Amino acid sequence: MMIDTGLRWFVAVLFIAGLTHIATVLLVPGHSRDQAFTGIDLAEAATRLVRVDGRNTVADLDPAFLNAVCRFDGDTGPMRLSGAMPATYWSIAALSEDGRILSTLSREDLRGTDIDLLVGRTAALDAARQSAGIGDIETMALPVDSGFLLVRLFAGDLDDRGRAEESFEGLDCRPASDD
Amino acid sequence: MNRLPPVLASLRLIVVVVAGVLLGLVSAWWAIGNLRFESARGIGQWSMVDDRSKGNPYEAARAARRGGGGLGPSEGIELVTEVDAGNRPLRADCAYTIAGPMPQGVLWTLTVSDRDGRLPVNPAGRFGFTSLDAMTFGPAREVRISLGRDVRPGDFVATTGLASLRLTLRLYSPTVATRAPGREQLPSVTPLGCEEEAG
Repeated sequence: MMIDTGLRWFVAVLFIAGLTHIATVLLVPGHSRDQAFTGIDLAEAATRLVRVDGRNTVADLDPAFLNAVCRFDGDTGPMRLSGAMPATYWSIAALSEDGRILSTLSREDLRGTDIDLLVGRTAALDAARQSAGIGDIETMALPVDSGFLLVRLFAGDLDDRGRAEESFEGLDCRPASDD
Repeated sequence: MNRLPPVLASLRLIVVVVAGVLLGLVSAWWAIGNLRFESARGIGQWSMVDDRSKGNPYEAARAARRGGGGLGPSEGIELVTEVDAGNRPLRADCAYTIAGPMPQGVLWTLTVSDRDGRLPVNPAGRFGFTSLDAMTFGPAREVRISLGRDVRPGDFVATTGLASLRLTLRLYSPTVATRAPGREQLPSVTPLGCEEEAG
């Protein structure tokens, strides 16, 4: 009788533990949504590139790079990133709100160092190109309305960091409707 | 039939619920944080991180916990390890050497951190090496990087301030993203000793 009661309670503990385990695993991604870049000023990131590192992001970024983000969403329309990239390695990634990679572009995909990139939903990209009269421009079509554009500039040593910072200062990220 | 007093019965119910919830939380935290359950492709002791694989809820939880920011297909690949060549967990109070080849003609960075991605705190501000600043040896241009709490000659990363240890090797090349390097093209991590053994 005693063993039966103990076994019953033990099974109850395992049952509750199982439910808690499953619920926790399923809830973690949803709970982490919008957490990737919570430390940055979203209003500022909607009009310019903002540097990110361990102090203002939980995203697992390479510390050998100068990382910066700007935010895009359906209300402001496509974002336009323009300027000169450094001669060292660089890449651009479009991320969802929770930091998931949606699309990427790296030095190998572009001729030269000047970049002029339009990012947003396909329909919004076409509308923005027509209204702004932009013909020759790189585009990154995304399946979401909002997220972040992450620019990674290699900054492995002091010289590279200097070049990366110089490029970062010259890069412009703003809604295409501002043009 | 000797029934428990209502107070004790309620207490037992509370204990069972609390124990069940705690066990569930701890097991979930352990399963999400343990790289051994990573279904990602392993290359020797290294595991390839892929934040895009969302089919498995554990993978999705791991990706969310990492906070995103991983590498996309046109950027390269990210490899992590939390074990040494003998499959023993890396310990922050131990010294290790990372030795062997690196993929040639590829920009790589090696980062030392704890399991939550926190970087070591050291006066040199050194948290790893890259293909541009690591010393290489022999025709195969092999690297030899040591890490630990006590300074060692050659390329060295001090692990001061870390409670756990994770090594992240990022290879920046769209080519390696489509054709990952073999284990013979990657370095291995071997222990040099631990603090209590040395002491």
